[in-house]
Amino acid sequence: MPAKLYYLKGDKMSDIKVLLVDDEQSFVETLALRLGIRDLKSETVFSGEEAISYIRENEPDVMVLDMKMPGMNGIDVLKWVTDSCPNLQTIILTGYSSNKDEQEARRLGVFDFLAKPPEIEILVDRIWGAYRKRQKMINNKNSTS
Amino acid sequence: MNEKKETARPAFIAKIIASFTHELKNHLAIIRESAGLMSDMIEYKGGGSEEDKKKYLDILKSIHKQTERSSGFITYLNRFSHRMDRIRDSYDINEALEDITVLMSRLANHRQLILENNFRDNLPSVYGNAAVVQFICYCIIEQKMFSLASGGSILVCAEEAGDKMNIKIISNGTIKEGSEESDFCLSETIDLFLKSISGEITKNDSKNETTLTIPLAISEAD
Repeated sequence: MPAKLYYLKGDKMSDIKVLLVDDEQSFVETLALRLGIRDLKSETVFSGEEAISYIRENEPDVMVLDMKMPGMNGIDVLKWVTDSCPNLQTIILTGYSSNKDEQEARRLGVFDFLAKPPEIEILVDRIWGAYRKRQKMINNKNSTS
Repeated sequence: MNEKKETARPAFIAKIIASFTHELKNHLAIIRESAGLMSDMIEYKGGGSEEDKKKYLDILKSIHKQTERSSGFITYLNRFSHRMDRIRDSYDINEALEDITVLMSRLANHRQLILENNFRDNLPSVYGNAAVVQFICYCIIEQKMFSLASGGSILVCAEEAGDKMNIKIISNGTIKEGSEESDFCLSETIDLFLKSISGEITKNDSKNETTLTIPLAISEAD
């Protein structure tokens, strides 16, 4: 998998608002620190329910979402996002998933589907890709309205 | 065979293994990210002599490599255990065979044998009980490993044949004296399992090839 597919020289990481959703607190907090070292600011929440209340208040550009969580799982959150915030781009980051999970997630329009633990540079790159897609969607909407 | 009853026990074991492997994968992810964070801090923030930095980075690379290896195996184990969750489901035959060959590779290594796959692209999905197919393949591979002398190899591959899928298991190498392939696994139990998936086993001794043929889609009445 190529590491630099979306990132372009001169891109400013600090422009992107990222939300990390995972019930493994230590994992997601460490991931946030690693993204921070790369000037990519992110917020962390630890459940699907928390993710939805966070998004309602402050919609991020990109959400990195775990699939298997107690309570609302990744697919439940994704369904809500598809209905409520169609411009929000989601990257699934999961320890285990079946083909069916992946197909369902892709049907719901996820930007990418990555295995946990991720290669940090690949994750950063996919976040960029997701951000660009969001910007394009917003611009298209603005130009047609 | 009452499929529901027969699958209840493996399904229980599978669920335990699946949740356990999921948990382990999370632990490995945390170890890996922590090692990654330390690497980032050394690389991005500096500190210490160049020689020390190199040492730390080498240690962290080693942690990274080992967690990657474990994580890979756990992925296969997790997927393997999830196969037993459902009596029938549509599945990718290459993935099902990959799980079993990767998880049996240690057994092959111990016997100084090579277990390999040769997967064809674009095979259709199979609808049926993947766990039973894996179990029958396991029995055939085990039988071949038992009779092969060290240095031999076993190849596993699948090919579409009309409305069926042929899974070929081919051994190469010297047969150990006095250990010609016994039929201990192709006994009544295997027959019952074969019936449950409407499968058939054929052998071509001149090519050392055993073929498990299964329908692409098992009908609900079977």
